Amino acid sequence: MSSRIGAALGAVALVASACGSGDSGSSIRVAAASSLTDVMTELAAAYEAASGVEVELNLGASSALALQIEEGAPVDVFASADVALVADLRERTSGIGAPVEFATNDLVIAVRVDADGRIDALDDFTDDDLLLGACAAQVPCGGYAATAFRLADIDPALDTEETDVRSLAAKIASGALDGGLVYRTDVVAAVDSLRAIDLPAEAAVDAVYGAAAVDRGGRDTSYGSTESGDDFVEFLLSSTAQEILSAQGFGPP
Amino acid sequence: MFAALGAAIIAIPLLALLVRVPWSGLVDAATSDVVRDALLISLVTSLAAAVVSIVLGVPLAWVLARTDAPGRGVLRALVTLPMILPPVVGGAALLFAFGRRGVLGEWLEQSTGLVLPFSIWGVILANTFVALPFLVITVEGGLVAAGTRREEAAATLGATPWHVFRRVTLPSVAPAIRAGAILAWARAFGEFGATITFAGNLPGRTQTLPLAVFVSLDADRDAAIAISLIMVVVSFVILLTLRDRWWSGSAR
Repeated sequence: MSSRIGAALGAVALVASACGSGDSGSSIRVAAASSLTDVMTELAAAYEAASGVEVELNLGASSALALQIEEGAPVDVFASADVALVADLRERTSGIGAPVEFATNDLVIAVRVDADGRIDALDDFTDDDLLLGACAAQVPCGGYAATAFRLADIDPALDTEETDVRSLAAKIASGALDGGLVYRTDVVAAVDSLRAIDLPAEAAVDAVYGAAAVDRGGRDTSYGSTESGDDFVEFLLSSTAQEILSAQGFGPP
Repeated sequence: MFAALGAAIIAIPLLALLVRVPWSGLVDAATSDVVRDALLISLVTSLAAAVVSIVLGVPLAWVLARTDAPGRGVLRALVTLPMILPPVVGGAALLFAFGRRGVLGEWLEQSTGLVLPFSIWGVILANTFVALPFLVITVEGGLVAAGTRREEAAATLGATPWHVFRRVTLPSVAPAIRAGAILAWARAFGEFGATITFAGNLPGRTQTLPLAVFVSLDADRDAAIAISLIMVVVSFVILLTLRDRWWSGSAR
């Protein structure tokens, strides 16, 4: 009986180790902001083609990723929607490289393509009858949104503060919300269902994306990935990467 | 040996949480407006979900245990589905049904003006969706265990079906209803995925304690740990004090 349990545990361990390490051997793990979801998939493919190093992506709210890294998550690169977040993490935690600015973005009002026009300016965010969303202040897009509202001197009547920008964009696209503040690139990525309305000039905020290599030690034994993240961070500034970013609506750093 | 490992898997993370508790700032963190609002919303919505679960779940359990309606097996599987379903799937499904473009939501908004998503009613609905199965299967188990002999005796003596249900069936499964209600409440109290997907996250309106933990974990770790501690203590104390008195009643 116990040998059977042992065999079962052995099988589980075998599967787990097979999942953990790539077949070819050389790989890196990249933790990236959820607003980078589409573009990072393309960037990873381009990097794999150029370097032969496999890229595993861990996508989520930048602030949640920072927490995971601070608690020791094995990643080689951290790409955040707010370069300041990388700098903060670097002060609190060892093993974080110098942050490199690799892209910019800006906030827009997103509405459905078939929206009835009840939202056409940031002022409409005071309308109680509309269902409106932004990101929670703890995640970068929420911090940027709070800045935009402050600059425009608007006290928004929000109905939800989402924990990552892509879930906010999805709720607007599905019609659950009438509108919300997302990145311009989120609208580009969902161009069939979303339309962007620019913020007034006085409320415009620039989102500056930053990436840093992460090395928490122990890469050879327990990381699961094998390569340093330095190359990938450098790659983000290459013309190949910048063309991919630009095609998805990101601005140059 | 395996028993100790089993206990350790649950105990170690909870102890690790205790180690991180910022004891000095705990009172400040636990009495902040955000935490107070979230605690109130959590208590109101989880208790409401437990009450709705009793009102709707007891008749449902009765149908499953006492009738030979066709398709009971399918109905039972359907009703217990939210126990295994990822809550986020439940939340998305609720959105497709009761969202403003959902099959029922659109009609509901046009006829009554009521919009469930992003409201406290939405939180209660999401909580009920995940909590109801716990009440139904507990009460169904109680009904099966209680048997039908006394109900048949009462019916033979001329009691109407409604009278039998109220005076014989309900008292005999009261312990099971209490146990089921506690389980349903506990599940609703800790609910996260369906709530954030269907009802969103707005402090003071739809932000429950689990949502407050998730949001503040990134930015205000001490607050997140303080809220987590509140949830662990409240849940543990309730399970501890009620276990012997109420749960064992349903087992008998």
